[in-house]
Amino acid sequence: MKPLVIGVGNDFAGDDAAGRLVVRGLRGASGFDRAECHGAAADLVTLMEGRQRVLIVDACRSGATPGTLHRLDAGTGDLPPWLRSISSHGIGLAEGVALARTLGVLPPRVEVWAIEGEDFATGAGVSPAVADCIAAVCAAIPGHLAR
Amino acid sequence: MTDTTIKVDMLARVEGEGAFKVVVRDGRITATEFRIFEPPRFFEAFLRGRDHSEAPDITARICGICPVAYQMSSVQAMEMALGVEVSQPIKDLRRMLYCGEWIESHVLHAAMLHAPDFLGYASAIDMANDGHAATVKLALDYKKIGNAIVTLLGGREIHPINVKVGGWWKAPKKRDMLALREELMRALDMAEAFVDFTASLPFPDKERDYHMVCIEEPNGLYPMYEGTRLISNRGLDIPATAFNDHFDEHHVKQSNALQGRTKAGGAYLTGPLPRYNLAYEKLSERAKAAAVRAGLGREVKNPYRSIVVRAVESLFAVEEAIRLIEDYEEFDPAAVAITPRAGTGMGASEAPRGMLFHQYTLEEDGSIATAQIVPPTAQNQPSIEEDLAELIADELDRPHEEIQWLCEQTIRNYDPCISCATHFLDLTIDRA
Repeated sequence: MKPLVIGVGNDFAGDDAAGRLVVRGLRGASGFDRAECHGAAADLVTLMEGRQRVLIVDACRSGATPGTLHRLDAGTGDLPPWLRSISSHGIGLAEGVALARTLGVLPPRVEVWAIEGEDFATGAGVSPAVADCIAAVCAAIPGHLAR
Repeated sequence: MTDTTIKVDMLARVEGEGAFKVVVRDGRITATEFRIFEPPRFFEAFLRGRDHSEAPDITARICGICPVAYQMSSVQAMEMALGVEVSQPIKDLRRMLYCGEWIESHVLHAAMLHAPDFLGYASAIDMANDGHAATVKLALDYKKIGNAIVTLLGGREIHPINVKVGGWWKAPKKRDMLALREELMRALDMAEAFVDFTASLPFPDKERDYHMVCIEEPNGLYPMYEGTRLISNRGLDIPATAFNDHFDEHHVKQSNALQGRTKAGGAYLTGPLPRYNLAYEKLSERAKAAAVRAGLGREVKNPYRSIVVRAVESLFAVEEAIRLIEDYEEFDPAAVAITPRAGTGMGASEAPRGMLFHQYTLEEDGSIATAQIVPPTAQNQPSIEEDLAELIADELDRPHEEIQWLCEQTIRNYDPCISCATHFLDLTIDRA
């Protein structure tokens, strides 16, 4: 199976849409599959199961400068707690990865690219720094997954 | 009197964001507040001025867990406003799509979010790590059957895109439906096993005399897609279009959400328990047999047993999808033509967690003048507060952590979908 890029987020919560927008920005690219989801752990487990390589793109709020890209390797241990707070719903991205590991279905390579957001208000648009980061991530992913 | 406010950790396994507060004076609960932050109000404003055809896709994004429910209530409301009657095959496919969402949502909630409460785990991950991995895996595999239904009919797994006002963009192929039937047949054993799992949980021995409300379907079907009437265990029997004549949405100071009450001011309950109690006879024989085996009586007033009812309803949804596939013939065109006009329409359907009412008024060009969305959690909010007051009143001597646990477990009986908002739920116990 091809690598899978999963965009996590909520279209109507400002910068929380970042992951979804990255996946949409990759439309037409080849060499990998794309999926969007709200970030519920069960959906993430189902999407990841059976894949060899998964790249998850989500928004986050760690305190860094908005538009910062955090690149994390989920294979090396638990994800940082700030990935729990923005992933939509209480049991989200970090828990999805942990659950997949517990059930023995975590793909051999799982990376998380988290884009530092600024404004997560309902109905807000994506902030400029995040929009720039989305464009850069879209440009970087095809080459990254080809390696 | 010295008041102590204890801030406790977030309630993580509720979809969305909110907070609840219990006020205790002289050993008695004097007040409970369940607070939610609710974006449907944002969506009501967002919809104004948009074309009627956009409503299903926009409202589907209110909730990541029950997009189908939002689509089903909105298309029915729009079709009424536009004076359109859709065919029975269109309705049948919508009911089948709804079956998929019931399976997805019920199984997710019961296994991943609620079961850990009963078994004493903080999360499904802890549960899986401590000897219940097979159950969690069963639930994930079972949920995939719901995903498969939503994917085939809705065009994709999450946020289906094939639903439109007037019908469907495209009707599925018969051969694809028959292939799905094979998967559903194989899922029946999982569905039965899941009922048995929920029945094995230890239940608090609590009951309440709820005012239970659900939709009634026109063809004697178990309540799900087409709410032509609203009924209750206290004699309510009205056209669904009269919802606003009998129910109110109240602003409350502690919440930006509206609370649903009857016009007389009473709390009411919507969701699996009302459906089961009011429409038990309409379940399949196999679902009824599973309910008996699971120890459910003909009447269920224990809210903690809602987890078993969800499992029974999920089994029913698998069977119902099989029935609908067996009756299915391809049809074309997949939708009725729409001519924009001014009008008002209402739609009521049963989201997994309860009744979802939509009302729209359209301008002559078919654009939306007003939108009203009444989600199940807003309707259940007063009932949640009453539960917290009544059900834990005689548990106040227990350690704080146990009370918190019971409160969270009690709230999760409602599968409260506040995902419309975001993330956290804080508990405050205010003791003198």
